[in-house]
Amino acid sequence: MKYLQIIVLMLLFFSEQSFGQNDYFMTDSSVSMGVKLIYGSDFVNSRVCQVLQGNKVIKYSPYEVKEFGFKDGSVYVSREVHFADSSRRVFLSRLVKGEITLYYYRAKGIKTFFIEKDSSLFVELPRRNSAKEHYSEQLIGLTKGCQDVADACRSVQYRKRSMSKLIENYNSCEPIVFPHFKYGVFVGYEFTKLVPSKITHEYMEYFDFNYDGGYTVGGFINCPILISNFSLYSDVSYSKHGFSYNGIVSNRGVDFVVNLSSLKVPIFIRYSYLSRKYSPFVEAGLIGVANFNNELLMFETSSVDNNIIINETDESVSISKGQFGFGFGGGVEYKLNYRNTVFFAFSIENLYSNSELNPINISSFRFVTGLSF
Amino acid sequence: MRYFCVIAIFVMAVFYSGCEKDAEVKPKDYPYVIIEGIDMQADNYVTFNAQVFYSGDLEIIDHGFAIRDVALNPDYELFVVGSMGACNRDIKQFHYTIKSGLVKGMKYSVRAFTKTSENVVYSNELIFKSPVGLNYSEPF
Repeated sequence: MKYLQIIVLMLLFFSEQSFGQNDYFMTDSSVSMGVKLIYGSDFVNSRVCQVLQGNKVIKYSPYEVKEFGFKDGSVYVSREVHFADSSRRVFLSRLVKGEITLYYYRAKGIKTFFIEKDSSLFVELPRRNSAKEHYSEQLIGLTKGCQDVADACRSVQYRKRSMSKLIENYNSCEPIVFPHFKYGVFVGYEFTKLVPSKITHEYMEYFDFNYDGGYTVGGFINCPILISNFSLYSDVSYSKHGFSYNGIVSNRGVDFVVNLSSLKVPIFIRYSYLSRKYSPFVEAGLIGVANFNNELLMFETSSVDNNIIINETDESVSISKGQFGFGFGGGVEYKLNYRNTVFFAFSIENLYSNSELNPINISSFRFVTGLSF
Repeated sequence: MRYFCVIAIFVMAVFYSGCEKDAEVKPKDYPYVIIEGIDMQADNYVTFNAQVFYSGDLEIIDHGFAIRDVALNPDYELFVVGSMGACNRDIKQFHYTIKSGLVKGMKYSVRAFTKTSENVVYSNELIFKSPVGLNYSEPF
């Protein structure tokens, strides 16, 4: 019963949130609330306001309607806009309202933003203006009043969500760091250990498996997921490891030698705490490995009289050419400038062989440092 | 300059990784020899290749290859086909080419060997089908 009450309260709360604002449109002389507007695309809404009356759709031009809005909060306002060859009145999607108001306009072959500042300045913010100035440069000029935001202008994307976030933060002058696509190189040191699975060769219990250290090098990409603190991280790294074990089994010496050369590709979800200089992060995900050299040799040595005889045992243990596993880790990024960062990271990884024949798994941890370009 | 240093480190790391040595069997106090492969270059030429991981503590007074006919001779009843005498202890690999004829289609087993004053070490065996006949020397 208690849970039912909570569910009913939550439903009421979300209903209120969804329907708290109704569709409306305004003319110079009147405001019509509680009307039903047809929700078109940005392209359609920039040209016409469509009001549903019974079965009929009444279309109003930007010269007739001053402003209209939907219950989801999106608002379109009628503004006189100057284009290269003419000027006309259109509906602009108002993305952010405040000290700086941000508008978006979508028409055939046009996707652009407009900025209104202090009710005195109203300018278009194209990707590049007539003076070939990049939009980020124009934004730096417009947001000088809040240095924390001005610094982020170089990383802002020419997209509604990204631009809105920047202007919202300018209006409240809150520092903002935009995650952006990164790629680069890294070097590191990796400790790797063989881990025989439970069903394994009888000799495996006689070996003392320990970690082998080796260098690893690679390249990475880090792609932000929307404009959140989450990103999709992936890299390709090369590493080489050699293992040599020796044991005595029933008066026979047994040598087990493994040489592995691998290309490793992790796909991690990374969460970063974004700040202006240092951004610590944690990450976890799946890993695929291609062992393009997976040499396994096992020799038995027996002694008869004065003869020492070496025999290669049946290859009944294996490390798959392709391995899959999971990993997790963390690190910290240091921002050198608006684009380049250096980072230090560690990760712990477990990889599994999918062979049916006494598979050997791999456990490793690595420390890497790298640079994004 | 900063990028140059980073790229230089990256290139050096790649180079280092590529040059890193393969793992080998743990050191032994006797010569540890492994047969690496057989090259059948032409109808009448068969070359055996062996690798010596460790020479051990004693002088090697003989080394070479020994062979047996898989169908006729039991394991370890080997016949020396290439005896190359004493060698330095820093030997890493050795080869021997048989030029006499073998029985076509016959299966043979070959092992490399090293002999010291204390023992004879036979490598792992390699079985191959030879295209030509072979005149065995005396049993080893």
